[in-house]
Parts: sequence; structure tokens; C-alpha cells
Amino acid sequence: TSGGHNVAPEGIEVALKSDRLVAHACLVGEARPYLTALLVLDGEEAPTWAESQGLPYEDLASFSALPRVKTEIDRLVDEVNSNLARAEQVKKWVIVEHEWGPETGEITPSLKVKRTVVLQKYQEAIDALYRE
Amino acid sequence: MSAAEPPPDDGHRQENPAGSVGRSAAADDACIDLLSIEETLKDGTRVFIRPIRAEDKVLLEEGVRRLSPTSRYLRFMRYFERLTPSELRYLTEVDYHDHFAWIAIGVDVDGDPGLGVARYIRDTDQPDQAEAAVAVIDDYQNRGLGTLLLSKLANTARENGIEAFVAYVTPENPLITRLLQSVSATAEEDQGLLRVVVPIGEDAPGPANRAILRAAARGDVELRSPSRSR
Repeated sequence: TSGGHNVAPEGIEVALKSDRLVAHACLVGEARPYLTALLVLDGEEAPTWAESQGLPYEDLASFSALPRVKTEIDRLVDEVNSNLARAEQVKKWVIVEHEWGPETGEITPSLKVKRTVVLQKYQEAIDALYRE
Repeated sequence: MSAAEPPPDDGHRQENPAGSVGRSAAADDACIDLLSIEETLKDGTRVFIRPIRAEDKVLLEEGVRRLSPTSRYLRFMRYFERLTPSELRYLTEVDYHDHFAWIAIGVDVDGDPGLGVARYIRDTDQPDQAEAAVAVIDDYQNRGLGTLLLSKLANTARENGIEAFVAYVTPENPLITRLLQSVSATAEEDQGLLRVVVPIGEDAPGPANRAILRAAARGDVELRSPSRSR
């Protein structure tokens, strides 16, 4: 972060990703005042989870916007944060509304994440996390 | 991900209880048996190498879990511990033409663990190119297994009309930048990454190209789509 803290994204991303609902977690924070996370939900898990919670499921975008889903992600992030020092905590997060794949460019066909592409593509959403 | 979704069940499945996915499962199984081979690495380690199958999900999942975090990161460029069910399907239910994977299995090890996988996936826009990716579990690295898998992969890719593999590398990677200066590979900046193209045509793979491919095996390179060979 710009506060001079060197935070290893590894453990945090693994922890966020360990939730079945989360397909991808991309931590952001380089040269920024605090850490944030871009999250992509799992399009296969989501309908199952929605059903178990008695929630409607139309598509991933509308599912990602449900208040109940946001509460669930808040709970997850809080849980992950509770094991982290203050400077390492994820202060804000945003759910990217569509899945990542080779067609949309965030992932190569062999399933490698192109972090640079992710950061560029979602720069607006990321910037919004650092606006007040 | 849709490209590797299993084809719909067309009724042949019952004829093939050992069954991989749909359509030509029986034919696939026969081919897989024909292609399977036991190899001995330079240190004497015996490995069984065959095309990956739909039944390999557990093998692959365990293999990915056995990778060190660093090896896992170099293969997938992200931090995680387990592949999701849809990722496992994508990586094991392949069509052996546009998506092919060799898996190496430990012969002398209890439980017949997966030791490494090399795969290519054809570029939909440039069908003579394919992204290639390799991972070997850490205990078995530096024994020539990645190189062996890659060399088999390049042969298979050639037979299927692919002329080059492509790799994405971070430009800061000193090993790669050094290697690139001595190879017929080309590299161009692509959205913050170096897109490295390694020709795999008949006359192409010299020692330097193999060095690039080896670097890929170690995860120093991230392989992706290729370009024309020279």
C-alpha cells in the first residue's frame, strides 16, 4: 500500500477464494491507501447456494447484486479480516458481475489469470473503491 | 469455458461403462490405451504417461493440491488451494484435438499419484497456435519430466496442425529475457506482459527453443497462443 505496508496477497486471496461462492479473488492495494478486493462469484455454485437460502436466481449479475449476497460476502470478508493485522485488512470489495473466462480476456484458455488485464479492465470499479 | 464442456449424452455412454465423456468415448479410450507409454526419467524414476481422461478429476485435484504455493501460482497465476468442479471438468474432459493434455503418473509410488500435466488449448482466432501450460509437482521437478511432457505435447500439437506455442511472461523475468535473445521465438508487449511465441514446426525446435519450453515447464514462462514459425 502507499502507507508503506508490504502485504502478501497470497494468504488473503486463498482465504477469500476458499468460500465456495467465490470463483476468483483479486487483491488490489499497490500504491493505494488501503487494500480492496475484486471478487467474481462462481456461476455454478451460485444457483445452488441461492436455492439453499430460498433466494431467486436468474443470472450471476442479478444474483451478485442481491443484498443477501452482499451480506454473505461481508461476513466472509470480516471473517478473513479477523485473522489479519489492521494494515492487511480488506477495507472494501466489489463483485464483478460476470464470470472470467478466455472469451472475456481475464483468464487464458489454460486458466491463468492475467492480473494486468483484470486491473485495467476493472479500473473504474477499483477507483470507485478508493473514492470516498 | 464452454469450449470443453462435455458433449451431450448421445446414448453411447452405456456401451462404455468405464466411460469417459459422451460421443466417441469408446474410441477415445482405445486411443488413450494406444498412446499410453511408460518412460524412465534420467534419474531412473519410472513414469506412466497417457492422455488425460474425464476420470482423472481426483488425480488432478490432488496433484494441484500437492503443488507448492509457488508452483501453483506459476501455473495458474493466482492464489488458491483447490480447483472448482467446473475447472476440473474443463481440465479433464478434453476433446484431444483443440484441447489435449498428457498426464504423468508415478509408477513406483504408492497410490499412483499424478506427477505432472502438460496441455495445449488451441487459439480460436488463430487455429495454428495454442496456449501451452505445464506443471510438475515440486518433488519431481528438475528430473526432466516437464521437458518430456512438453516434447510429447509439441509432437501431438504438430500432428493436430499447431505450429507454435505461446507464452505470457512478465517482462521482469531475467531468465526469459536472456533466453529470448538466442531463440527463434518472438516476444511482444501485450497488456503488461510479454507474449512469447515459440515455433514448434518440424525444423523449428532447436536447443534454444527447448530451453524456452523448459523454462515454461518450470513455470518461469506462462505459455499461450503462438504465431507462424519460420
